[in-house]
Amino acid sequence: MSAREDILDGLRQTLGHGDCPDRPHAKAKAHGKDDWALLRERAELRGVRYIPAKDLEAARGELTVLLTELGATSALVWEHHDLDALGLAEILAELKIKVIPHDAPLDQRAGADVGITSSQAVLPESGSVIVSAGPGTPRQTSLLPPVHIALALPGRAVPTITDLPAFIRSQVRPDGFLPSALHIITGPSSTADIEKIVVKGVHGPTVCAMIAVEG
Amino acid sequence: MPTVDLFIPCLVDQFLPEVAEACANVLTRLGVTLRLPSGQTCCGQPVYKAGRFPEARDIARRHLALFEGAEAVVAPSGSCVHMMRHGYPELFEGEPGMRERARALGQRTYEFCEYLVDVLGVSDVHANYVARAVYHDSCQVGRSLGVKAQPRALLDAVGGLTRVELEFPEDCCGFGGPFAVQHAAVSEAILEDKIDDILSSRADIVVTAEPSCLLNIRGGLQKLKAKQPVLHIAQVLDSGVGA
Amino acid sequence: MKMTGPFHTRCEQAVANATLRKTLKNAAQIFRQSRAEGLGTLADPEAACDRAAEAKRRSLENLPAILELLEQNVIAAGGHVHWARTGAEANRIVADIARAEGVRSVVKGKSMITEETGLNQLLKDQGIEVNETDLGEWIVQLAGEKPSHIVAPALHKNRHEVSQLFHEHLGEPITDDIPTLTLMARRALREKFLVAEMGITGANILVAETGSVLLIENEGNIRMSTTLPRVHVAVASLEKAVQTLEDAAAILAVLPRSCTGQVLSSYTTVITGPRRAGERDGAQVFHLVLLDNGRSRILADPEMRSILHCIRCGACFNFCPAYTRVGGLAYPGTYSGPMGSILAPLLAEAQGKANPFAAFPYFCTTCGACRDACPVRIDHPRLLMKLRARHADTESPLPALAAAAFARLSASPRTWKMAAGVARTLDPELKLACRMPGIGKALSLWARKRRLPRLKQPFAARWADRSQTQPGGRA
Repeated sequence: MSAREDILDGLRQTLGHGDCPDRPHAKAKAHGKDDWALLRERAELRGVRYIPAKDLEAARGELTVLLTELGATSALVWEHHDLDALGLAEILAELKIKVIPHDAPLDQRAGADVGITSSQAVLPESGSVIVSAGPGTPRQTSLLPPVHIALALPGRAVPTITDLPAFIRSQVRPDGFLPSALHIITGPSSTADIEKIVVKGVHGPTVCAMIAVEG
Repeated sequence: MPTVDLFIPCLVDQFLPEVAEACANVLTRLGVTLRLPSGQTCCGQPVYKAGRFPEARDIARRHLALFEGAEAVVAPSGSCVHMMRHGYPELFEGEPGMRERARALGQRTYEFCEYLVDVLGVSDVHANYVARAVYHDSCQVGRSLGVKAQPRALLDAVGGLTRVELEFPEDCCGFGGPFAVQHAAVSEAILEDKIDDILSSRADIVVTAEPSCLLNIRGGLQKLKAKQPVLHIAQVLDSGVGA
Repeated sequence: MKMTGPFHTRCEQAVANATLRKTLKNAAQIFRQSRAEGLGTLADPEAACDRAAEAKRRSLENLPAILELLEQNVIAAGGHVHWARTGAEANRIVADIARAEGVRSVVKGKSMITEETGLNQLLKDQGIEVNETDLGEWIVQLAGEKPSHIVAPALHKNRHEVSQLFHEHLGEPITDDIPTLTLMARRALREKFLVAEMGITGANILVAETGSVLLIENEGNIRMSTTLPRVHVAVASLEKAVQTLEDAAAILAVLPRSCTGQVLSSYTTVITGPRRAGERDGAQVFHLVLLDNGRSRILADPEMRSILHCIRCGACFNFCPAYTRVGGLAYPGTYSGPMGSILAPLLAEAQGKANPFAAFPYFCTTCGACRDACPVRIDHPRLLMKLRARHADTESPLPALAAAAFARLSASPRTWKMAAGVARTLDPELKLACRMPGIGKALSLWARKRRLPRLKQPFAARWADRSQTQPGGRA
């Protein structure tokens, strides 16, 4: 008998189908804030650099200021209509920031100063941005460079963790499957493995910035 | 007038009879009629904790029978009450008849503070004891029985008593039954931390509702020649009444 | 009395190590404080934990169907599924995949399951370089030690010890600055990520509905391990599987909060199969290895089944008075602390092996702090007590004969009273008792750091007098 049959048969002998009523989901504390305010509060608690902008025009300005401040000279970027609408290519050209192509050698991609993505959603309860992998939106963009900048557009809030299932199901692609990877990013990379002292920027980005077009 | 059958744990009977007296005094003063079922020896907890279930069952059967006629059972020990309320149904899982008897009796078996506050509805027994006191939340009283507010309410009503909290009042004192001797060095280390907390609190007295914790903490403080007495809450509540 | 042995000795040594004790105490306190803050962000933490416990319970009850659904959906998404009865089988499967894919170096996310199976050694024997990439795991790998805590593998090490390791193994200068030490790790491990052909991870949750692996981390090493190498292998034990995203969310609502106090960790990743057509990164090949290694036997035992609710949050460790005095390295084997004290002996028995962990359930004060801290409602003291009963003959400090003698004595109140009377008359301070066989050893140990109590005239003897006279107050 195969291992698979062995294991499943063994389980079937003692386990069956239990019937149990569904229970209400865990609710986060009622915070009385709107989504953006809670998102900002929770994100900043986790060390996210939260930059509000009232519209795309303002977001363009904020991004320009940020990139200048960072002194970035190279970037990994998503190919995404949100970033097109933002006019990202123009901003980068003006600041003379080199866009590293997705098919460049790995060490060049790993050497980029910043990674710029949009986001599929934000999760106010935790202060997170949610990014999905896809053609044109590689995982590395928000992982390899020491700085990750995410654009968050309005109308995409997943208020709490218990709202995640519905959101994740909405991410099923035309081929009937979820993206190969979906990342809920909550602040920069960190560790407290040495004496419980928190240090940012272990393997992932040291700086995580969110440009939130709050409207 | 309520009637209570006193369950005096073996540790209390042999080493801390003054605690039993204090208990009896407080209850009598509150108008409770007391009975002491004769022939009490042990509820079986030490044997149970040591994993010897068949022998623990034998002891439990007898102990249960001794108290079954009671309107209410009160003991100055959370661990012994927990034994009767939860340990006995566990031991008799395989004997539905006994298990039901144990459950029924457990529902009218109370730890001392629990009985005063939750059943009699009393938190001020008009006691007086001038001291700065800390209360140690024994694991079986606080965590297992959920009795945390009641001892504090009782102590806070004692005239002249200033109660302060330990930094870690709910941390185990390290006794743990057979653990204290089977893993003596670790038990001692846990006790050491509890004593450090007590000494840092600058308390004059330590109060607890659990006899085994009492003997453990008192034994440790005495070995260090520390001055703070360790009292059972019944003793504090029996002090300076009508003064 | 059963009071010796290698475990016992290691516990004694650990407790005598002042540096270790201080490190453990500090870390545990921080963990506990963080957890309280994290759960405090929930409107009803108790309800959230009940919900998570129910999600686990229902998943275990329906496990066969859930595993079949999971397999179906992983395969549909382009992944491969393997089943392993034992740790050795699982290791062989991973090693075979590595060989077939021409893997020379591996990067690993923190995975207790691969600790359990001892995967690293087999891969190394095959000439494959294995790089632990979680900082704590990497530190203990350099030290040649096993992880001492399921969440913080290097909990027992202070900064000076870590710096010494980095100095010896990487040639880095000695420093006591923790950010600097962390940067050293980032540099060293970045190189490994960029060249490894295979990433090995565990799985926090397996979601059958979508065929996904849910991975939780703060560092980003798991993302690196699943993004850069060509092959991704996830190894997970059976009980990690749930059916729905709702059940996964119920667990996610309490796991990071209980673990580190975070609402969510820095990266919560949902992986579904290998990369899709047109994608430029992510593994090109995905394998899921489902491991039994005794779990189906534990599931068949309704008394013990609830230990498999465990979501590896580590909260119980941080509340355990026994564990926090000695740390995980005192325990043999993979799992320590309260959950390990139940899981380790059960797995050994279920695997039909000798059980070197039978002593674990006795290394416990039954304080119950673990049960109170558990977000999936495992009643550790109840399970530990049952295990004590199962192993009493080899592990109990109270020999069967002594237990029987005590039972007989307590059934005879006259003899009981007489024995107590004799002891009280001859030896009220228990000095002679300390020299008796059996009980003397126990009393002597107690008396090392505590004054012994004194036998007194029992309350029962005074009761008759009481009934005659009323003490003061109302009648």
